[in-house]
Amino acid sequence: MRQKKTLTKLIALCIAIITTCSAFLVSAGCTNDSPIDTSKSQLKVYSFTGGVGRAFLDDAITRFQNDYANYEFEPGSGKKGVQIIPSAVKSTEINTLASSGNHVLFAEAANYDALVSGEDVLEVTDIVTKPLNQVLGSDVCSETATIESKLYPESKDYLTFKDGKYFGLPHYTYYSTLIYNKKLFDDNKLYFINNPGEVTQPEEYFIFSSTDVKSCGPDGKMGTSDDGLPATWDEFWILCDYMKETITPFTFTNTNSGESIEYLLNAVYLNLAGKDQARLNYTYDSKGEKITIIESFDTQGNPVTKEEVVTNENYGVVLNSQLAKYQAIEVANKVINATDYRSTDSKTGLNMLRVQQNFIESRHYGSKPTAFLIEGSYWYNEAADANYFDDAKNAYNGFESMNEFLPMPLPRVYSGTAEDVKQVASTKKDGIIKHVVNDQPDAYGVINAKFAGDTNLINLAKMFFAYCYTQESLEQFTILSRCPKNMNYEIPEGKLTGYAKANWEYYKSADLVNPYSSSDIYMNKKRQFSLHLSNSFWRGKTYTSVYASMRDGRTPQSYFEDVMIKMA
Amino acid sequence: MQKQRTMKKEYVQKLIFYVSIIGLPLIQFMIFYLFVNFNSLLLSFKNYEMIGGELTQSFAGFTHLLDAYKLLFTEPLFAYCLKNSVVFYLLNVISGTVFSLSFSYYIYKKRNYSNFFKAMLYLPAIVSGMVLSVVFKYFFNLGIPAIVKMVTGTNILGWTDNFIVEYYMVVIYNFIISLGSNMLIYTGTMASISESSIEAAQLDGANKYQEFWYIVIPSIFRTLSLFLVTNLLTIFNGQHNIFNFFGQKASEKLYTFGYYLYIQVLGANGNLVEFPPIAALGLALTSFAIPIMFTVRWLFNKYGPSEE
Repeated sequence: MRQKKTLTKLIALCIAIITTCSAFLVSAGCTNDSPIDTSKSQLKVYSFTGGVGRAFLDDAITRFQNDYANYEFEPGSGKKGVQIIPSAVKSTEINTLASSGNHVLFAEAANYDALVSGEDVLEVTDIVTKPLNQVLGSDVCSETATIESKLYPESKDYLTFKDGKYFGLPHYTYYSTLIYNKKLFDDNKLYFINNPGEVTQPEEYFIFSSTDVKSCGPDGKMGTSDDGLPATWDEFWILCDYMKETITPFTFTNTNSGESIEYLLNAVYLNLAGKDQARLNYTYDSKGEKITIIESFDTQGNPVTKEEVVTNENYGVVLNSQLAKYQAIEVANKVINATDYRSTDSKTGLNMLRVQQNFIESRHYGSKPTAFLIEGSYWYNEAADANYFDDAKNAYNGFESMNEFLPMPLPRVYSGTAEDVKQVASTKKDGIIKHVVNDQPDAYGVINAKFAGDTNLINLAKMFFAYCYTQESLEQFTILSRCPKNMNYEIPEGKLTGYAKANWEYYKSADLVNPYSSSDIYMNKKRQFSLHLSNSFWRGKTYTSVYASMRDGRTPQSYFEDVMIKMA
Repeated sequence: MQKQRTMKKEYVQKLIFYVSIIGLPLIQFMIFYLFVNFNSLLLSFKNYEMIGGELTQSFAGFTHLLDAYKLLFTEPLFAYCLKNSVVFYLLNVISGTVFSLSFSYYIYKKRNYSNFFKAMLYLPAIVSGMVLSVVFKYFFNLGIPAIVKMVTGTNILGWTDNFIVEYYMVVIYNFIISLGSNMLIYTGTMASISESSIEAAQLDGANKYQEFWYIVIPSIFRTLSLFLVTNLLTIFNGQHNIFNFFGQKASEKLYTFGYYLYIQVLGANGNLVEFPPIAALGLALTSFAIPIMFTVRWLFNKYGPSEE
């Protein structure tokens, strides 16, 4: 009896210890255990690791520590050099700066104007507007350019909304996209032929040999890298129907309940709307230019359109009625509900990384290869950090020769054929319809204002912060994270390879939509119109997400009508 | 003099003991209840606006509150919220009374393996709710489809993508999760029932059902009614683990008031401009919750069973 009681007590004690310790065990992996070097000054730097990883931060830290090994950041203290303590985790630390111990932060999903209004972040105008060699010392940096000169005009406008001063800088950027496997397309000749003539069989739309002339592709110009890819969404569905017996068109993760579909919606919308129209979601004034909106639907359910200018008075109704928005919902509906277009992974709640892995290996493992992955452009870095490419190279012979993953140029014209797209392109500058990308992550670098009283520390923080925006740091960032910083800079030929190069070239050749402005309407109502994930851009008055609604059997028309009345 | 000093020392020791015991809960109550709710109340009547890059605030009067009432009565989304919130409350009541009481009585009577059941049923309550829901979600999303594929060779949908079953899975999860914690409170209260009352009932020839209904239930009715009344609040603020399963993208069919408020605050991303309307909606919901709670409490006090 006594033995039984002792055993019960022992079990109870064990459970109590496990329960109590679990919280500590969970947080144990989040701390940085580097011992403090008292002979050096210390700086704590936080970086959100999602998408871009932490290699860029480690690299910047190493270079900065070496470059300033003999520099006294705290004059008179006898300390030389700096020890930078990184905290690279996925957290929402940017929203709790008052309780953060980090001095410099690079964060995603940051609400810059709220941080500035709340006086949570330190003014950095001096380091942004001074030549970098003066900020960092000419022995470390020879650049005479300012950080300000590397900012896009939209970024300058937004970042200086308060008294013309800077309180932060853009961090990394990624865009919503489809990824396609170019080698799969090459090997299966999934390219549209130029001028197919009268088509009686689906295969007549496509090239028969690699020497056949491909159609102009979505940019409307012959002889460019997107030749043969679907020029319109009509052609896109022809391609999907043609391939679906042997190739699964789409894969995506449906965890987070539809986040991937928002990537798709954003990418489709941006390319159909074009940069100027997409920017109206942030500026609310088309300055007399008209955009196409849906007025109503006819009895057959076809949209009845009209042209309308956007003003500070009618922006709510007009922006929610954009034809391009409806067309994007139609595309999403087809992807969600055409079950033979979707991979099994997209129906089973597999997480983002596992979907990426299966996409990478789809030509070697499983019943069918997959053509498109719906993702953010950062995906390759995530998959590489998880060793999926190395594992696949080791596991499958010929992996590298059979796979090349690239951002998919999407149609900029909704219906018709490549010939119609050529017509549209002929009216554009250089005879080309450029693709459009957005800056998706709301990522900023800031300095925590909590430490404003410590002059030496702030000087150190500002120097490191500025150091992260030198030409060398921007290049290193792009090489190591395979993602661009949301800054206007160039990278010399030959420095980038593989996906990093493809991603960079796609980004640089695009019309970029920076998702902000200094407009009061933007500051007060940004959630209604920003294309950031989880914002209200795709929400209706009743319905909460396109994914959930389409899946529940709503029609694109009923969803869109709900979106149209949102601001009415 | 010596006696006075000893008394003073004793007084200080008692004071330290008292403060150390009551201090932390008091501070917690003040920060996480009083301050938060008072601030939310003030927010409902404020207006924040960015004008020319400056965050300005002004008195909004009852504008936000009236808008909130209008929203509650005109937005079709809130019909789902009301239906789901009430369904989840009723399920919680059923699991928290019928099932929890039955199990508690079983454990109270020390029947076979009662300690094992006590530990098993309470176990989910000591694991973080988020961890438990993630395990549950992945089991039904990945585990069950994998087992079905292994056995039958057919692919089935994970349950978060299967809109036919997702609602029922959330219902089942909430049902299971609310069993354990209530059970522990009931067994604790049942343990305090006087043995003589039970013995007297047994001597009078009462069977187990009669003992449960006429002795146990009246003895724990204060605890039971407290549970039923305080749980009424979950109709207006409970998110019922919807966020744990679906993040910010749950189907509108699953919305509850609590989930709606939760994702609104989360989506505001620290933007003060967006907080006043959300706070006003919370206040509007409170204005419904308070009278309902007091009425139900009054009904229980008036018509509930008595120990006498």
